[in-house]
Amino acid sequence: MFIGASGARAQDFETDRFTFRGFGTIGLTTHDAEGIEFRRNVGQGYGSEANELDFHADSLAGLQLNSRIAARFDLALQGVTRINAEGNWTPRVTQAFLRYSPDESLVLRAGRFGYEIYLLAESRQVGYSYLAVRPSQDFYGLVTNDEVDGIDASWTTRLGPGLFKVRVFGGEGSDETALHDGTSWSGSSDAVGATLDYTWRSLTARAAALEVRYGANADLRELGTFLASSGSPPAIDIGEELIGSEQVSRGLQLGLAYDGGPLQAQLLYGHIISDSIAGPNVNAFQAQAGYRVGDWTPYLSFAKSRDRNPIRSTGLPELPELLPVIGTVRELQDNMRATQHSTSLGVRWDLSSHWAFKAQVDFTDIHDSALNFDRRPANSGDTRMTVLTAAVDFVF
Amino acid sequence: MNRIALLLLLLLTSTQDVLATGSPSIVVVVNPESGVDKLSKDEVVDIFLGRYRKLPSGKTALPIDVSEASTERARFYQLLVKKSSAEMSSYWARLVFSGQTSPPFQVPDTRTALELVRSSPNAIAYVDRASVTSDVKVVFELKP
Repeated sequence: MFIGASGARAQDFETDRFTFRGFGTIGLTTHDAEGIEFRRNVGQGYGSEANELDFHADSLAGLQLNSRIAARFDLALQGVTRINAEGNWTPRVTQAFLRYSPDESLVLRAGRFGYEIYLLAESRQVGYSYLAVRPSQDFYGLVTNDEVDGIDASWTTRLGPGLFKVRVFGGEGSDETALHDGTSWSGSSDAVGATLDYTWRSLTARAAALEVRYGANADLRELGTFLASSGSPPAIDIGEELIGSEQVSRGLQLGLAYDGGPLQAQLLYGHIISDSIAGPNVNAFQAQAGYRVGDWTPYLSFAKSRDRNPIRSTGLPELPELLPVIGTVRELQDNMRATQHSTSLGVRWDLSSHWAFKAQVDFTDIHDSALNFDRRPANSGDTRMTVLTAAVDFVF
Repeated sequence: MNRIALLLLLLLTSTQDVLATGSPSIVVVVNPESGVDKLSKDEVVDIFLGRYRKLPSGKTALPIDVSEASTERARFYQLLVKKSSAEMSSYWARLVFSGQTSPPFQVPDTRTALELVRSSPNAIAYVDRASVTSDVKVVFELKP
């Protein structure tokens, strides 16, 4: 936002102003794994099929309006269109908040804002802002909507040679998951979290924690009640987990990032634990590094996610009348599996300070994962998928 | 051999890298009433990258960027954090689209930046050393 060459005065800093910005990605994706539908995350209603060019997985567009309504108050409104769990492109409000900053150390926000779980790219919607074509599917694939409706507070101070920032937030989160059978699930949750960052020169270290509580699902409680009274000890254990009035998932993320000169690198570790089979129980890791040479930045990434627990059996006899129950318990677990790893190679070419072209190849070994739709016959075993992507990112 | 080496150097070096060398130094200036005599490089980085916009005097810092097309801006960020214009644009996209903070206030040229610094005790800007006038205070210098 420019001000004119004449008439520049101190009060210009304080005047009302509106800023309109936008961003987008046009991505073309193909892969070679027959029977697998590649998805960016589990919130995408359909994926790209083998040996076909697809633009759904990585393409999106967004607009943002910022307004300074007073010296210490800002408003932000952001909408994004992308493929959702129902398989359509209905735009979604991804940010809508009032920001108040009484001084430079303290920022308070109320409304809809992001979880801030991306270390070198605070929003995964804006491809131009990060190095790779997409945030790692292995690490972030279970995360669909990364916003919360509530309040947050962040406080920054100098500590030793660097800056220490603490952020706490709470509110109602929303989630959506597209399921293998073509249906989708969406629901809200109570989310609370905290983030601690320490930044010194080009290094940032982060520890983040998040707790999400989902209200009881009537179908799950009914299933739990049945299992708890089945007389089979494994089924009773599973049933008691599902009977409760809510399910809880807790996540921890530790990260270290370097962003100095031509080198960008990050290490991330994530740990999610849930109190029932309906939630994920996953450890994830990612390492990524890129080095800029002129306008080109080649990069390399390795990411791995692993379920901590094996699939649990109900121990119920496979009688015809029990098969639907056994199948539902299995499906609940299958929907949250994420055991796979990927090695990715790519290059980013900065065409200007608003456009970038990226090309990336991912070699993904899938062991037991719902991140992609697996349409192969049951028990088809592990598979390797090579994903090729070309994308253009822009901001204005 | 020298020609090949030069070609390789040109291929491997961005325009901003070339701009950052062989030019006059860039200085960071504030209003004489800001209560600040000098800033460290870390403090300048924190202010202009939106990490912590507070001057050592306790006042809020209001950083000013000159136009994206200006050579001063490209040289400033190349010398300060070794980042090209595209990398800085990408950096700000991270913060702006996640609702965290705003980029520095943007003006068309150095003359306007100096005018704002003269009129505001909170303003902070970068200019070529040759552009410095007696009514602003130099608090940090970036040498090529």
